[in-house]
Amino acid sequence: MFSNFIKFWRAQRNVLGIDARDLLYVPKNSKHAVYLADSKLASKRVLKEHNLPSSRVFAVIHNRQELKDFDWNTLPSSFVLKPNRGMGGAGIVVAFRKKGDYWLCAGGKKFDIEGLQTHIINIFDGLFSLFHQKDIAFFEERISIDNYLKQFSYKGIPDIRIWLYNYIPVMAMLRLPSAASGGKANLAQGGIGVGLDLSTGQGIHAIVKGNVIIDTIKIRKSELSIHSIRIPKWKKILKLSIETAKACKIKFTGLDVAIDKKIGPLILEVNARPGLEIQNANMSSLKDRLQRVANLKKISTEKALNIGISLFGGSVEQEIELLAGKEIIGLKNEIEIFDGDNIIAKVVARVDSSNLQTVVDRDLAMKTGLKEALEIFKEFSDTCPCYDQVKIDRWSKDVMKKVKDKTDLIEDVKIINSKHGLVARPVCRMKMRISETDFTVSALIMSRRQAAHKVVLGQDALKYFLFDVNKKDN
Amino acid sequence: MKKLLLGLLAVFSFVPVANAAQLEVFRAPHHWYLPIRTLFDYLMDSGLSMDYLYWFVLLLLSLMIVLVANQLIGFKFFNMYLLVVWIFLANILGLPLFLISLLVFILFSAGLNVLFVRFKFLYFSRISAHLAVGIFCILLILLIALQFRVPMDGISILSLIILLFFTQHSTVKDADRLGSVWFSLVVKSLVMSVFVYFVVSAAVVRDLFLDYPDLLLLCIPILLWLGRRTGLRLLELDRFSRLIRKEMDEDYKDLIS
Repeated sequence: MFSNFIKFWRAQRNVLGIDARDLLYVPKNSKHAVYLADSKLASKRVLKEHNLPSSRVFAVIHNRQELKDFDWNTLPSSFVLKPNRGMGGAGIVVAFRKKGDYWLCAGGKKFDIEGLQTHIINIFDGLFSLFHQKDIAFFEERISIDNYLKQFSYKGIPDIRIWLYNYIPVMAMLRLPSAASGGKANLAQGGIGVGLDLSTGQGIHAIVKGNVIIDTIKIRKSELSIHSIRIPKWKKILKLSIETAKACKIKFTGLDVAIDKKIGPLILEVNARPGLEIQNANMSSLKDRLQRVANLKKISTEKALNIGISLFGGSVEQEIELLAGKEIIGLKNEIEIFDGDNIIAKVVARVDSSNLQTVVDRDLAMKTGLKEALEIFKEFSDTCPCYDQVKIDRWSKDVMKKVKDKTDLIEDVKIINSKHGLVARPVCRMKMRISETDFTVSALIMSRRQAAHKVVLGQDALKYFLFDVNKKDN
Repeated sequence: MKKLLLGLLAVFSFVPVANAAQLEVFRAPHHWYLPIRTLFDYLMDSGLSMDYLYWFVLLLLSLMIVLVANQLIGFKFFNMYLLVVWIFLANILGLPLFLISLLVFILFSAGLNVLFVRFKFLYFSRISAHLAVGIFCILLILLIALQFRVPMDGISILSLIILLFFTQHSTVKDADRLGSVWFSLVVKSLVMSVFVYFVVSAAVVRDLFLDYPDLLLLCIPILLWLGRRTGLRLLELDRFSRLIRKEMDEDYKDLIS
């Protein structure tokens, strides 16, 4: 009981809570950096100065006079209207296209010029801004969703949240809009948070509604595995996030990155107080990661990228292997064949999951201690005289009996339908190794002189491993 | 209960308490180490009502309970000011009248909000209209209170106006922006304020803190501790429970290896 409590105490100390974030890490940012994070236009200006991609601003409206004088014909049919200091996505109007006098907007809403004017006045009055401060409104380009990410998201724009500390990426999460969230990527509203492996951008875990772990995402009619998600241009995205943090001189931040169909990765938002749900999505705590990079200073972008990847990028395979206690093998694997405790051959074996039994080439098997036994077997085996099943069984038993009298190394006899008719082939115990996993199988010995692979691993060998057809050759 | 608490107090002050007479020693007001008690006695001797002093206790206690609920447990509500004012007004108006007033203000204001957004009313005009309707609502509240025979002796209309302003400013104004989260925040804030109201109105708490108001000085170390605390809040333990369990398992694996 007490030891459990100690373990619990130690474990919970690694998790970053809201108070630790606000007291230990948010103050690491200068006031100017926090100002940049809170003001979308100011951060966009900095990004532009540093030639970093972000969505294009069409127009900024500062006051009622500018609103009165604004030429609405200059607006494209598709745009996004945002409050400069808005929080939690409030006050954002996404217009898809113009139809007559009004714009069709997200959520099925329709806005005409008068409606947009009222909305902008509400923005001026601080209805959507932090602490109800007076605010300004701006129109920006609407992002077109990348084709790859489109298949995983419902209606809205998915974005990637990357946590950086000391300009080093420490954790990443993909936020997917779902039907439950009404097409919004916001996790609090039912969006899906997919934890990403920092080295590859591949999905590790996913959560929905805070704490519920899911393995697959149901989008429209299809069901897709979390692990099949691999963010395109991942290194470029990480590099962009590091450069953005450096440009804004913000040490502790959560950056939102989107992938536009035409522009590629671009910065959506800079957050000075990023949400903590990323820990649940990655099933990994942040405190330890933040502490590990706390004392690093003046690091180049390349180095920061490499540090982030090498420190916090864990392979998904490794995690799966750890959980299953089995190694993952691909379609072709280098195997070592033993004779007793000595390795006598290294060959590339192919996996055939439809084979019940592993098949080994006769010449290869002859190199092991089975040589004598196989020669004895050859004396007794001949083509089966008939095709009657009862007679075949009797014949194979006879062969086995004769062989058993001479050697114990032949374990069984299998009747194979070859071009010469029905023939008997020996089954022998063989010890093999893939990577660091040793295993013993009852291998069917037959000639594979013409075949590209001398060993074919069947289901009896596969029970020691996890098989991934996508895995590159071992 | 009260005796138990007094006994505990005696234990903490390292003075043995054998009988009730010795316990009474602790009630002695003029010790130099009980400055608040001495001040309270002086104020009461000067003719200040006990109720005023109780409000002082109530405000501080409410503040501390709300702070602990927020910082230590992780409850979310609109803001500290609103809750403390709600608890204070619940005490002044009485719980039934407070709840009736709050419900009327919120219902009318939220309804107006929907109406004004639909008819594209400007923001400041909307706030003014809310307040104007709210002031009419006070008449309705008085009528409801009379119908249900809610005691209203000595109730100032100022309390209702303060309740209206705070409710408008801190809750209804955010209804547009927060959407569905708004409703949950209203309910949480209300539940919290009613809970704290019952705690601070309990006779044992009231008597204890009026007898030993110096206990309120404990607020200072609690405030300092909560202000510097970086651990997880209780609700965060639930939020990150899966992660903590995973970390515990990894800890166990380390021990094995």
